[in-house]
Amino acid sequence: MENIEVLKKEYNMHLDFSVSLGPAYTKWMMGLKDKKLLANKCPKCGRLFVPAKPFCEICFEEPREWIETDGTGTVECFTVNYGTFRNFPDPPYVLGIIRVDGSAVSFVHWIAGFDYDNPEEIPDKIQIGMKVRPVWAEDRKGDLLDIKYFEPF
Amino acid sequence: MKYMNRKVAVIGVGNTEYTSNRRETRTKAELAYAAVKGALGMAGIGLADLEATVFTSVDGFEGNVRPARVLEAFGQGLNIPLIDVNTGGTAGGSGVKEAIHMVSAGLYDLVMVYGSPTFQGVVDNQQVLNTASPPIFEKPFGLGAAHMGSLYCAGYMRKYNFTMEDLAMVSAKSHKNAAKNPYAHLRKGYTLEEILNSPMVAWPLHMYEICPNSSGAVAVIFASEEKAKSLCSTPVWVKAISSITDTFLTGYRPYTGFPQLKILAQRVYERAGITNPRKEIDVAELFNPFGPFELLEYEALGFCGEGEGVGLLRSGATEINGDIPCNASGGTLCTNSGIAASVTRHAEVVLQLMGKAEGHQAKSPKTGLAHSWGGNDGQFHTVCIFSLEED
Repeated sequence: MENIEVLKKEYNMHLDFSVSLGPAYTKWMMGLKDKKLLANKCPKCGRLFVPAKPFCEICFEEPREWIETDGTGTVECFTVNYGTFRNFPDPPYVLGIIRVDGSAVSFVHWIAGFDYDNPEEIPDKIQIGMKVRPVWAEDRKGDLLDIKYFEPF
Repeated sequence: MKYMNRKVAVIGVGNTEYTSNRRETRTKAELAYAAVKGALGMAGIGLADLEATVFTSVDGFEGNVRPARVLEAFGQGLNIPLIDVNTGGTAGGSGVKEAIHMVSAGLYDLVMVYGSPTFQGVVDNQQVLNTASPPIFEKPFGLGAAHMGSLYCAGYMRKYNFTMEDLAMVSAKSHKNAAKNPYAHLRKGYTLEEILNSPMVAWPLHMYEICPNSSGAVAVIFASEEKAKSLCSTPVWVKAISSITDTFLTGYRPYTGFPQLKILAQRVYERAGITNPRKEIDVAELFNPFGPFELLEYEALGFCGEGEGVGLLRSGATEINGDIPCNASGGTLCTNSGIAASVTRHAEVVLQLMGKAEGHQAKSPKTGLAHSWGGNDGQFHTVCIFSLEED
């Protein structure tokens, strides 16, 4: 093909979604509204899940027993974001992998509540295995963001 | 149990040149045409000889859910079957697995796998990648692809007390190798110093430890024993291939290594009759969209023990002239054309075994390993073993 200046054409797709959370996730999210980190328990293997699970994917059974945890946990892993990405929070922020004490699973949340003034020093302030607890948002509506972040203590 | 019902070999590989998405001037169909034309040319067959085709990409990432726009390059005018495979980043490995199963089962004698340039045409691919994360539980936090990668690198680094320099060294090896590979996208040969001085994006990963958005495509042709022997002087035989899966939500990921890959490798080695991977594998292409992944993969694949990845790297064994060259092509770190990158891992191993790895050829390898990683934060892995030896 001859070497010519090619044309570019733009298009986009605006797509909206609305998903049902189902009863297990709804109950767990509504716990957050009341400043409670709930766990549910597999009736067969006895493992605790925070966040709750609609079914244990190993035993394939529905957890029926619910327990209120004190919300404290540990940092299982973390990364610090310094990049600027569209639709993401402004950097820097710390993404933590949080495991609430006794839970068989971890989840993602922010780690904050300490000095962010020297961004390059942030990684040195966080240890894997460090204890953290939730800091609650004032306006809560049954969402993971009802927890503002987890803070070291 | 007999794993391969019939022998299967690769007889053709077709690559396009790679560039950035922004600089791309070819359409998706033109990229497919060039890759397929190249693979058919090497195999010495025509489009009409193909009996089935496998298209690999990620639904929804291409701004067009169905791959219909490139089917003209797949012999669809000839009414042959097309199988569309999507397992995220590992779609290429899964597509190769399906092609091998079809030929091994005796359904077809000539099957082509195509790796699509998934992100070609996407203006901001982070926005597209975000659609792959669990929308309620993980997406709200600003956890992008780079962060999925950096979590593993951080966990691994902290567990074994490695330094950022230890991690960056493996990326410097990839950049050095890519500079020699005419089918690599980033060929600047960034040094260790340049990597450590590049902007920190997601600690502990600097910009040059994270793959670019590339555009380019690849096609690979699989053949039955009879076809392979009549068409090709250096067929590359498939010894074994398999895949493994993990949960969509990331709650079970340990972030200090790849335990699923370790399980998968054991299964594949057993089927391929490999007892000492470090000795028996001569060349490997390991999925490294984030450079340090290669270190975690050395360990999971048994090239060294746990916590010994940096030591293996420093020994020079995984350099092009070492005894187990890894990512001689520069790997996914230097060329990530979406799903094409996971097909390319297989294409590159095949080229190495054929002695056709232009500019980055390892010294007469006989057995090679191709790996792919993908899905939500490492949900899937695939491993394939190729060999010049038929039996």
